[in-house]
Amino acid sequence: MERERIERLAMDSALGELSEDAAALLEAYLATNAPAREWARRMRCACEAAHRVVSTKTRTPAERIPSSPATPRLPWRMICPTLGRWAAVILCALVMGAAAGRWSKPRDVSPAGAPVTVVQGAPAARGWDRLVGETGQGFWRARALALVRSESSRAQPSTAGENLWDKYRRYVREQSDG
Amino acid sequence: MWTRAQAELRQLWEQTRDKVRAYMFCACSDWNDADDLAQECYLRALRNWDLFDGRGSRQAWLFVIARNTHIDWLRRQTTRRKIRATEGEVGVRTTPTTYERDEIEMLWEALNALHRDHREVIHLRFAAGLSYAEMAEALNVPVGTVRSRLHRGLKMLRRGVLQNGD
Repeated sequence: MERERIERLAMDSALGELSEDAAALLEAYLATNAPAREWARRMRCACEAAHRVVSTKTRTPAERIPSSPATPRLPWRMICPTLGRWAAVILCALVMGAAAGRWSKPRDVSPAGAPVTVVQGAPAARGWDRLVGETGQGFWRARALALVRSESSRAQPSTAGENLWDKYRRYVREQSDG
Repeated sequence: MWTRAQAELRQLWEQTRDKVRAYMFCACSDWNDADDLAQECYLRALRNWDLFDGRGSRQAWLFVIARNTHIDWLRRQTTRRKIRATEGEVGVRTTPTTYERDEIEMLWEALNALHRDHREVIHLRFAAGLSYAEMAEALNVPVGTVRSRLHRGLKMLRRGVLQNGD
């Protein structure tokens, strides 16, 4: 056999990639052929040397050996993408919600300093009356007023047939006139 | 909150982390870089977990990712070196004046002097412990090519040591 073939077979044998039968045949051949035996020995030495240098160099330094190898953990960067993604989604939702709330808030319907007209309603509407007195001016005040009127009208059906939007428009008109 | 991919990757990580770290260390000769690269490799594996088609072994697939991670790292290093060179900085590595040339160091030097193709198969075989078939899969070459490269690499390693030893 030629030299390269012998060396390859010796390498396969040294690396455990040769079947038992083939390894036995190779050994039998090497026993009878001195030059081939020398080529095979060199190749095995090269394998051993490569193994030795790589295993020595890649031996983990003492300070890098994990303290609890029985309970290894995934690096934090593997967990973080999922957590980070969820945090980003929640943050986006919060920001968008805040922006939408801010955008949807209407301007004050009553001019500043305008007299507040509290509509006396039925006893059931007293809670709303109190709320109107506490909330000051602005959208919520207008809304509270509208609700008070609605409940008052339910208690005193003098404005039957007039819906909430009509009441609101009437209120705005009154405010602008007065 | 562990998904199926994360649980499977954890299992693979427990089996292969030392091999991947050793392979990365052989590739970049620095434990800090090796740890970073190994972590990057597992991250990529997690992101592309569902892309594994089931052919071959997961370990070989992981080493395909490890190899690509290392190649990307090499490209980044090359870019950084170019930037440093344009900024007028002096070279990256210096050879120590008193260098202990024992056998291991000589072998290591000879190994790093090999062509990348030959060095790579030696790293995959002796650091990662892959079989011929797994190496062929990781490198996307036939098994015969793996054998040729390994054979040539080992011969050149031996020759390099003999030359250095003179």
